[in-house]
Amino acid sequence: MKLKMLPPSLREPHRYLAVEIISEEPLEKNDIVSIIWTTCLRLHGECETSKFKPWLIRAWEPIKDGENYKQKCIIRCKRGEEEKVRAALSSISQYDNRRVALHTIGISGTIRSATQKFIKPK
Amino acid sequence: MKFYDLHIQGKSFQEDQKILKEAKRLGYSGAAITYPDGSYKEARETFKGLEEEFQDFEIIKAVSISSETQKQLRKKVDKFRKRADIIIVEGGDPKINRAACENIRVDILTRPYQNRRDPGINHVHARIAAENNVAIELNTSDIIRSYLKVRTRLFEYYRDIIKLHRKFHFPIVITSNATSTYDLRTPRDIIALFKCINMQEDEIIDALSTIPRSIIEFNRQRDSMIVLGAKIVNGGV
Repeated sequence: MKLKMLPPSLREPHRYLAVEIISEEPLEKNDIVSIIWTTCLRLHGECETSKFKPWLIRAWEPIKDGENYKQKCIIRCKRGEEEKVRAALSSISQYDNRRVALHTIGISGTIRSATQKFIKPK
Repeated sequence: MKFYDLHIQGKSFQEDQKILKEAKRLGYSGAAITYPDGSYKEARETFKGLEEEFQDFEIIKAVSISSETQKQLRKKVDKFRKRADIIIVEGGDPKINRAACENIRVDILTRPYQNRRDPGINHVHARIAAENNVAIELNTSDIIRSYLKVRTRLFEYYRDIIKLHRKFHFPIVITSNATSTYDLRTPRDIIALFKCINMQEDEIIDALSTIPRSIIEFNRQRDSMIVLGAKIVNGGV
């Protein structure tokens, strides 16, 4: 049986990071999840990472840009820990023996505003 | 706010162009392309081409000097002082670290901890570096490319350097030392990364923006300076 949803006053506030991924090969959703976990665990360790509650919300299709692939995604984390997640994401250089680089474009309070502001600006 | 990256390794015109375009996209207002002292002469054409292409982006000519003895270092610094905008000395050997800190004509000492088991600078180096205004470089690509034990060691050395910086107030610059576009990070990401080693936000912004700006401006006036604090105004008329 599924647990009943918490009342709004007890739910934890979130922050949404709009992230740009540059890679040599197109990445799938599983790869991005794996990147987020390995990089958070490497930089901050298990104890700190347990506070972040990272979650991949949505990943857009990779677009070819010259020799590289560019891809955008939205990652959720706990409010107050976004700077640490940002630091962790920027500290990765390789995945599966291929170069990757993650840039955080912006941080927002809702998925909608993160998408409108940073992923698909008007 | 204007951010600068004072150490990007140059390879060829096409590669440099790619890196600089990426740096501009990520929010930097200027970058220094660095060539080693051996191949600096051949890089003149590259610098000319880059300066023509990037009009609204500041391009700084930098040379990285690696030497084995103090005498050789002094000779090389004297040789390149007028040719390059910024002189970067590759550290590692304690004698070289000391000679670089003592030389007022050197701008940046990079990787004093290379091939060592300590940060490479102590209170003596720190005091002389503060007197001679020699900046010590903290390198992001070393952090990004390493992991586990090596990265832990690096953080340890950086913490020691920052501790000395807080006491002796020698300048610190944060650079990327990028060899490809994958090594560059946005200034905001770098601020978040260095907050992990207990650096304050204003200290990091100083290292990314204020100190690089002051190094660039000081070097533009260097030719007209007779001694530190006295300079020739209006061409000596």
